[in-house]
Amino acid sequence: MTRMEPLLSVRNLDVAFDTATGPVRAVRGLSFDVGRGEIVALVGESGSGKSNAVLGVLDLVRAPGRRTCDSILFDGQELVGMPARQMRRIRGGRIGMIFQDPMTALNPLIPVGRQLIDLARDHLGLDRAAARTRALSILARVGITAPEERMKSYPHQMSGGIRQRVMIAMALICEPDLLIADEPTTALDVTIQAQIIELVKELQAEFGLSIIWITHDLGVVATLADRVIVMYGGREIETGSADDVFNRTGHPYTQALLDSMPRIDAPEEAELRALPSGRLTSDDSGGCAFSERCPRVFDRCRVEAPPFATLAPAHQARCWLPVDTLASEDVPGASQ
Amino acid sequence: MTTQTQDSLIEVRDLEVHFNVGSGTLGSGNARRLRAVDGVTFDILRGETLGLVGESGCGKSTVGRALLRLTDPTAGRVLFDGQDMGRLGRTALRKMRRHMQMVYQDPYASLNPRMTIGDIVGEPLTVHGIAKGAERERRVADLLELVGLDASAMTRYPHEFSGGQRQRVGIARALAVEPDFFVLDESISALDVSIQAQIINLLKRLQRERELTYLFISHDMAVVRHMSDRVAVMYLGAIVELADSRRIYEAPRHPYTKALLKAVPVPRVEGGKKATIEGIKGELSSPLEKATGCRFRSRCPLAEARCHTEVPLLRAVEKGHLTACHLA
Repeated sequence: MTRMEPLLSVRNLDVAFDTATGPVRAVRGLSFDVGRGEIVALVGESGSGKSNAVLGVLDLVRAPGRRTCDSILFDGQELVGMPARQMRRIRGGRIGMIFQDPMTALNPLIPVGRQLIDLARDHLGLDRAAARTRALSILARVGITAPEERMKSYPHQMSGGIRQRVMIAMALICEPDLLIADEPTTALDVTIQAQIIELVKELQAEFGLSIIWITHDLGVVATLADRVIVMYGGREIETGSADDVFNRTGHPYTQALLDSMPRIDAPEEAELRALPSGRLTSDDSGGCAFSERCPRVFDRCRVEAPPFATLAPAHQARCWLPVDTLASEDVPGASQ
Repeated sequence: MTTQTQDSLIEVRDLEVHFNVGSGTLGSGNARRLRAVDGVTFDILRGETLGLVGESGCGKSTVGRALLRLTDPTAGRVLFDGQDMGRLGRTALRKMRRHMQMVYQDPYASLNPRMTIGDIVGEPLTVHGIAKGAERERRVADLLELVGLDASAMTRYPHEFSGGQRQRVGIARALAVEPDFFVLDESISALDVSIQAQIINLLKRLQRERELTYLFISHDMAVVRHMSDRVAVMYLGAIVELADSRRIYEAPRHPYTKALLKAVPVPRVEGGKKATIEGIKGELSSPLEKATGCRFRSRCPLAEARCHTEVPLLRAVEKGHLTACHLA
């Protein structure tokens, strides 16, 4: 891809929740870019801050949560400080969203056809007939058979896979530049997940979309991502191309995730290399959040948070002692 | 069909579990039968893990529940250690249940939030009259240690523990009555990847040390491969393939098993190219209708005339490798 200005550029994003025992920082100083036409996977386990990060970008963090951010440039426009009304036009218009549970995004009381038509009229200013034509064509495009019939259905009358397709249609009807997908296939069976992922890849190529795809599943990452951001404790701890992150893994946490997964493509191992449990190291210690669980931990990790170390151009890991490139040549699958 | 009766802890014969759905409100005559489990036959050998995989709604959880008689079968038999569960009276059934335990999916919903960990793990000891007082306490401490928790956990409450630790509590509780058999129904599916591996390793260690027999129910093909000695694949209430784990993953015979494996995303990037996966096209047949042909025919790329009219029976295509496909 040619070097050009990224579609989305986030600088120093923080999301914190006020609790009885003080603020909990869900996202800590996150900065990242999404290039035009690029699929970026935001990977992490529960509590890593990956969902709050995109809620922060979309300004959808609700009280008692708070977002603070230096800058979010979207196609040259500053989103931080943008009036709520204008922000609403961007969400659902130029930025489409799909979630794990379509039932939270679809109105259960309104047939899906009308929801699609309303969206197209609101955001694109189409008249009813034009909006309807557009709704039909997008439903057909996401692989829904008999879209005329389907327009009349209510969300509860559809299977999980069909509902997810309808939500993708809702997200794409305004031809957004950016699609944000938060674990949209996690609740689906693998055979349906595979259909949805292949559909998204086709649509991405066709519309030249940029995508942020949030997931905990490294298998899904390998099928989709151009670039990967691994999150832990609210921070990005490794970022690089999918090739770098999978094949020249830098951060011990990423390596541990890869090692601890049972897989269908590798010789069987008697025992999985499990990561020990452990709490996030508290901010007060000043150390690396992963230090309590890290197999490579040494004194410095416990007192001083590591900055990004550049392992290769556009491949960085927040670690004092990144996984040795030579040692990681015996990648999972090739190991004995 | 099977000749392994002497090694079988559990024998399931022509098991059917049907549910009435659409109750026919006000006599509208809409009552229909959902064929959740529609005639399955298999054995679970002593000391093995039998994996049971399939997509949501295929009936795998219902099989697990019927084995423990948490659901009454509509037809068929389940023999535990040679005894027909269906013929046991209430008292005998309760005694029998000591030998079989279930570990559930959600470690948040399956532990009573108002009970201490000590009481949760100790309750089965009281219920089955195994131990009380100081003896009970000693046993609970042992059980907690066995699953990798500190005995000091006894006085604490579930909310003080993480998902992985709660699942350890659930396993300790199931172990309390010294059972022979566990039904593990999606027992690690709700856990984070890094924690899943710990629990998998724990379950495998306990199986070795205590000679446990497992039915491991999951939708996750990779986890099932890692856990199981043999694997049964279910589709719409029926077993379509059953074989050694290695054969299922390396030389599957049923088109459905093959399709399932092709849909699993693998965490591997080769030559800088994204991995590809394939979905299954076509619509699922209705579980409300009695099968008149192969249940998978509506989605099968190979289906021919015979598949529409003749139900394929589970038959051996090789020793110990069963499949229900006319074309396999």
